[in-house]
Amino acid sequence: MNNHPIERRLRNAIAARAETFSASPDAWQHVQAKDAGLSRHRRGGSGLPGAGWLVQHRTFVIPAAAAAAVAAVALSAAALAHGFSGTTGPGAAVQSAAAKPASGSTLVPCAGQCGPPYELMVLFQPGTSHAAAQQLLTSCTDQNPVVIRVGPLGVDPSGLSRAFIYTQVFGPSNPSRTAGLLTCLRHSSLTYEVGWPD
Amino acid sequence: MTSQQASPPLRPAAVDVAVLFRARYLEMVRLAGLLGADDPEDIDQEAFARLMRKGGLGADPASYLRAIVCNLTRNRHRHLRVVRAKTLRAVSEPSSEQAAILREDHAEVIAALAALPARRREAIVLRFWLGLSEREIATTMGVSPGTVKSQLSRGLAALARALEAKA
Repeated sequence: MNNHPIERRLRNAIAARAETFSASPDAWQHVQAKDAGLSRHRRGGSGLPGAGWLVQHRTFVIPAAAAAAVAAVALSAAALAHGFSGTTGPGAAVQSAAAKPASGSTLVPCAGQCGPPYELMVLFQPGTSHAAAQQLLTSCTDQNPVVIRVGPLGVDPSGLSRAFIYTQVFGPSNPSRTAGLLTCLRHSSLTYEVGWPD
Repeated sequence: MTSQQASPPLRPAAVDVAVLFRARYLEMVRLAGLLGADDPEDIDQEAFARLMRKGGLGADPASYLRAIVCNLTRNRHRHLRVVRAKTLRAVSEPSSEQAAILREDHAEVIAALAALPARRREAIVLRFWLGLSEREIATTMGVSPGTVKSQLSRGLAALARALEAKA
């Protein structure tokens, strides 16, 4: 295995590429800042004034702030639903999704996709024909109970063919119910990436 | 107690992470970079911060750390592609400055590697750069050893095809 020319070439190239990455001398400070929830890496500034107070009280403050945010979202969603109760069309679905949690009777924080239909994005390898992509989508989604429908094939901003599969459940919240669909898509050599967008 | 204000002591978990940081930080930066991260250091700092928040390192901290780096890099790819609609080139390929450092034949291999699907690239890098066994790669990627074997085989075949086409 080690003597195969491709593998030898690959090892050498990867090792050479790895050498081009280096570590900054203040990396540990950034780790500590991130741990304290006060990362300045992206901003490049001098940090938040009075942030030491937050660090000391974060075990209380952060859960309280999260609870307040959830309550605010719930109130806003309820207000939206009551204010536009007679609306029909696509807007109604959005309102319904915002007002009604994905499962159960309590509101669950989510990362952008808060109710069905959830969007599963599939990107195909460069050069994949529409017919082949469509065939893969059909074979992986046919008879799958979590799939609501398959969107039309389009083109991603990066130039790759792309499709959205609309599902009853959100993968990160229900990995067991979506595993079959993801496995089917990821095992195909036509697939570049499959994921649930934020 | 008396010196707390001048220099707060690290929590026990942070001490462990600090030791691991010294041993593994650069390696993990390079891993994230090889997997195509646009900001490998940011990903690694987040990975170590998560280890600190976890409160302990567990039985195999290096494997756990590798898994976090792989997951964060994959998420970052997805985020960039979906939210910022960045181009494939900007995310996956070395900058012109970095490319200039690489020899031409190495650059060809790296470009072919960057074109592989994320999971296949992960398997290849973990195998041929870190030298992990299929079982260790499976643990890191959260898949079965059989899947690793298949990803490696398909990845190598795709690389061979891409390099032969350029030859």
